[in-house]
Amino acid sequence: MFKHLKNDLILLAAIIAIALGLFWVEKSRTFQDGTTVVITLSGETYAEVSLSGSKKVEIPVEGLLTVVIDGGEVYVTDSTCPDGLCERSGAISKSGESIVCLPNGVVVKITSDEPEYDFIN
Amino acid sequence: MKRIIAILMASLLLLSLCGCGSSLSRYESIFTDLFDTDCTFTAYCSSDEEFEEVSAAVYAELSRLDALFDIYDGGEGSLKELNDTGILENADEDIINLLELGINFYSLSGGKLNIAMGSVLSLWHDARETGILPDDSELAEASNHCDITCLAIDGDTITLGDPDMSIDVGSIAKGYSADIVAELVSSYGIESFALDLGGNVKTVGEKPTGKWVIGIEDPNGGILKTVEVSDLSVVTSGDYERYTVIDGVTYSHIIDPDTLYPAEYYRSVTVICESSSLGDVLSTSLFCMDVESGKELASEMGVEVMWVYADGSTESNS
Amino acid sequence: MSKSKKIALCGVLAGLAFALSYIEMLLPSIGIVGAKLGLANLAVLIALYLFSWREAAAVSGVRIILSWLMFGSFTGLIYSLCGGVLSLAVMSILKKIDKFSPVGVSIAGGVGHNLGQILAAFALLGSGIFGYLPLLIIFGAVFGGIIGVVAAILIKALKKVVKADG
Repeated sequence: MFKHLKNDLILLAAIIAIALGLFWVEKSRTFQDGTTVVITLSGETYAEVSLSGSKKVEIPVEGLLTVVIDGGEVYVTDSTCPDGLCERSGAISKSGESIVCLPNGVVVKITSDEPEYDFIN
Repeated sequence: MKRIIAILMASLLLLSLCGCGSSLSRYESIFTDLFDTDCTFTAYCSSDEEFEEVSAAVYAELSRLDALFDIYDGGEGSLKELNDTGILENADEDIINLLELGINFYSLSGGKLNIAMGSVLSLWHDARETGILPDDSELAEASNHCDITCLAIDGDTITLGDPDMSIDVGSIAKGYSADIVAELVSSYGIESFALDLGGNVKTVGEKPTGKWVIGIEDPNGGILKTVEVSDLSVVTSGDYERYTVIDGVTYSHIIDPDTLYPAEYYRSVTVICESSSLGDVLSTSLFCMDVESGKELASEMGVEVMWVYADGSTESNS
Repeated sequence: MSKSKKIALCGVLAGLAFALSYIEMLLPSIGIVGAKLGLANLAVLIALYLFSWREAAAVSGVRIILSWLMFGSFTGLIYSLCGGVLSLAVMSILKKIDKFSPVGVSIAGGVGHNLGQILAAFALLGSGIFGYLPLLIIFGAVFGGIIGVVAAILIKALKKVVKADG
């Protein structure tokens, strides 16, 4: 029954090796202080706000989703999504980190770039 | 001699190190409970404490101005008192300055900016709340009480000559307030900051990385044009800022004094000039007039203007 | 095996797949966006080994549509479809080259499913979601492996039954 067991194990090892490699790439470019929080809604930039200071951004999704920026950290509260994963994923603070709410189509990401626009009229 | 050069080099090195030590960080505060819009204060400061002190002062000053100019919930000494009683004694300097700005610009704009048409605007304000269009007869009756010459300022006493008239400074209060608050921030020694009072951006100085970048919204989605400025105000009046939809028709908040209906020449008008007060009064006036008259007024005032039409096409005077 | 018997069996498998996705929905979530146990893949794997990729596609498709109609949102449907299609494509190819047991095929299927979902999320939401990629790959492989072991046992038993039944 397990006649190809060796091949299976090689496949598993290869996949895990690739994943760990990706992990390492991700981590090595992650650990630096970010400056800007980019919030996208269904793939389009909804807001770009500075990571400094203390503020709340309410995202007009079905129901509601609030992004809180405080003390250099960003987290999500008051999400009406069914799985609540975006709230449970906790706070992010480093450039490259992100919080995703798939049901609401919201991605909150920290970048170290200055915002593209200071203001939008 | 060699020693002197060495000391000079060392002190230069030290100086440059100090320069790095006092680098500026970007800070931002958003106030959501003022002027019926989102107000953002962005500044480059050397420490959290410095920014928090200035930001608190900005909030306090904006609150004070908002309370003075508020015609719905304003308290004693506010424009609400003037509208309710027809007289305001010992009026605050900022109220007098703002009303004088409005009076001066009434003639400059050929009547397109009229701060005395509160009676008409309140009908449209109600319409936005209730979803029911105002009666044409009501509008016509209200327009009989919009004569700005009945607004008299004598020293620090303001009187309304017509008991049915009321003042509405919604179209100019944000621009004026941005100018006032900017002076306050400068007095704290901050050299690089910007105020955004709901589509009314005033920038002072440059960012450490260069000019301030302001995107002009495409009413059909996305960003239409990017302007880079320093020490200038960028003020946009757009029908997408505040509006109501009644029976499938969109009614914006900018009312043409001549038709008593929302102006429909453009989706937005953006004015770039030094004074945010001027930018605010001009963008509102230009929103209510055809582009030829607008270009004349703009060149008279020496400002840069961009008009955005319904189909997303634009026109500018430079 | 007669055609009607095959259709009946496929229906049973589709029902099993639907029931398994319902059970998975009741379980507490793993806590990572997009990570799924992929229990329903068990039924798809069995269909793939007893019949062919066409029957497996039918089972998977019916499962996805049913879950969408019962509890899903439209975006949820898009994620499931992309995951399902990529997963099935990978599994069919690996089975065809006959170098792996159902366990290996299932591992690749699990990874394929999560990759498909991430690609759909990328198309819909932009590149912010790629931070989750490594974790999703590992989860897909591990759970795919566990489900593959169960599937291998079931496939062996079922093949006997189907044969004996003629």
